[in-house]
Amino acid sequence: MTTTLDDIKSTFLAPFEELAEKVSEITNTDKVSQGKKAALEAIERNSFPTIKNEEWKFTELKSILSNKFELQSKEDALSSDIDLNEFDYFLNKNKDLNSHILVFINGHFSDKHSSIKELKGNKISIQTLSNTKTDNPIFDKFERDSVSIFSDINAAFATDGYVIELTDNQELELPVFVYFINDASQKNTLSQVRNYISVGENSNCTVVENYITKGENPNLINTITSVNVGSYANVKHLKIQADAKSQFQIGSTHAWQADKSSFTNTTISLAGKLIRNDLRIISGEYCESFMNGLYLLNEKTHVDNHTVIDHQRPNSYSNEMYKGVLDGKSRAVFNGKIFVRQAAQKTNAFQSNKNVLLSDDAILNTKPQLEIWADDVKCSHGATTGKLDEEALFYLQARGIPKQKAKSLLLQAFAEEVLDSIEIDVLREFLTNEIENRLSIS
Amino acid sequence: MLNINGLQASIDTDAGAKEILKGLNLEVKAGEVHAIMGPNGSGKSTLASVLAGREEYEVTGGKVDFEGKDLLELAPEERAGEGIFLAFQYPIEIPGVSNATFMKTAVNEIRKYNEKEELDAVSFLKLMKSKAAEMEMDSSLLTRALNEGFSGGEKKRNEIFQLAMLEPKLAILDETDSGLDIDALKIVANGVNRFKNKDNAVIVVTHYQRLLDYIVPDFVHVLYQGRIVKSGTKELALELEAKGYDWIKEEVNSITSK
Repeated sequence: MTTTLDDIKSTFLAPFEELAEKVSEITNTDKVSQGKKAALEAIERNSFPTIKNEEWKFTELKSILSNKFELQSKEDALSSDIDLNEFDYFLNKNKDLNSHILVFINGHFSDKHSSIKELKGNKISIQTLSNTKTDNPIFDKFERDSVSIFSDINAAFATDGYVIELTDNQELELPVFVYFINDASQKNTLSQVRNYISVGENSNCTVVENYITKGENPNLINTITSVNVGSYANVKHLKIQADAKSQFQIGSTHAWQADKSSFTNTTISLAGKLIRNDLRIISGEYCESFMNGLYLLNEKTHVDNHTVIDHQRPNSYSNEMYKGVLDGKSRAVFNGKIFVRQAAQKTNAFQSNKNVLLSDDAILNTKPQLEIWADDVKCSHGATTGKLDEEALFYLQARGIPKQKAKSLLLQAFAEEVLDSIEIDVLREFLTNEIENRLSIS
Repeated sequence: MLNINGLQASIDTDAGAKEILKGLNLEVKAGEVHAIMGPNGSGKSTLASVLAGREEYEVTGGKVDFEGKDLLELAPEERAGEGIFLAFQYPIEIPGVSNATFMKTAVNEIRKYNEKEELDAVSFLKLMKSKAAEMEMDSSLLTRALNEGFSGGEKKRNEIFQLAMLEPKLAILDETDSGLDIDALKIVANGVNRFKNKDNAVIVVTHYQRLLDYIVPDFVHVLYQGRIVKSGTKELALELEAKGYDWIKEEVNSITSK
């Protein structure tokens, strides 16, 4: 018997059967409800991407789709006794880190693990998706944007997620640290979260998503984060994929930037089985967009970053810097698209992807893709792949620094450019240490 | 201190292994300054590199004894630990590693190697500031990335600053004078002279005599075709400056052709 694509799809979707029925019976006319129905239809139409699909050419999903995953009910998810302090990556252990904390276990919000500091008035809200009515006007600000069938599955069936809203002229002083924990100690777990960040004019906030796994069973987290950035607003969104060796992650971040706004996404991938990050930014006029990425991979970790910056209006600036260090049999894929539409004159768009390969078995596929319809723009891109600079190594060694330490110094220096852009001291120092430890062992 | 005996070394080229050092002998004692001179391509920089442990060169014969140890058996960092210092002809730019971090790591790694306690931040800073002042180095150069964007002169000054910080037993200066104007040359030479004492030694590899006006050698050796073909005192350097290298080449060639 051969497994067809349809079989794979029906196996993957089997746990959703009951949910699918509920979605199909939805009669509400609000955008979210209708979006779910549309997503359900899309699921029926679409299939899982294969390597014949240009956007998935180097990322084969077999390793994910060959597993049978289970959904966990909220009761089950929250009944397991998880002590956050057992995770190295629970950064709020550090007393110097002052932040709001949101914890989701297997896709369900865990109230007892979370703590939201007092917020003044009703101009800022930090909520969960399950507590937000589907007809809340916040959702009207977001467009449906599907990257693949995974987006559709998320849109139809996500269990929960965070919803952060700032009205005009607000500042969320403390960052929000969100922990997505997959507890795969008993079962193969599949969790899905759908997140919204809506920031009004001249407001700003920082949201850090942390991905953590407990247990060794195969587990998948499928996420979508949608960000709406108002005029003159400044949003920083970070994804820290650091402690999830057994984890598969499919996630996309979509940002819509109103004129004169600033948006920064920082994606740090240090561990995981297979990670696919899609980042899509649509930029207005006089916007700034920063895309910073660092992947430090070993063993058989596979990380695929696909990014799109779509300059639709004139006078904007974007800067993308992705850096990678690959060891073992790891593989990294980078695909960076820059679109400059005809109306987007005077756009400045820069992109760089630099990689260091530490092993002969590591593989890198990098592809910059610039599509420019406007004629008065400044765009540049560059990709480099190489080994550590032998001359630099020798120089350090000749000053008494042992080879391993010299390597570690050089790699840290390489990574630092990305880490430097992180403004939360505890997080930056944590990652710097983490990288230092990793590099001195390998 | 240093005893080089019949040293042979080659480098891989597209056309196969090329022998550069062809049986070189040299003895350096504590308290001495030796100048190694010679025409381009004679093997001067190769000698400096081989002593420091650069991997591109394969040692095919001979021995190098440094303070009773077989130097050729040691990794570059171990040689530094033992007290060898190479001032690079072309110091490397290393973005992202600050000069101060680099220097602190180097100082403490060498101390560790010699089973000495590491310097704490305060004593290190004090030491660094005083040595930098001696080298008339702008303090911004210490916080900047190592050699990145430094001018040629700043790079060379930084090499001698490192020499002062690490206080090795044997300093090998590889064409340290190249690319220096006369003021920078004096600062560099003064740095070397401050370093020099009866317990350490200096090998100055240079193409020109002018550096030797400031760092006065006890011995001058002429390296040609991978061997030391003539040795003398500082007057030999002056003679070479006046007459060039042709007479040496002729002398050597007439001997070898006999």
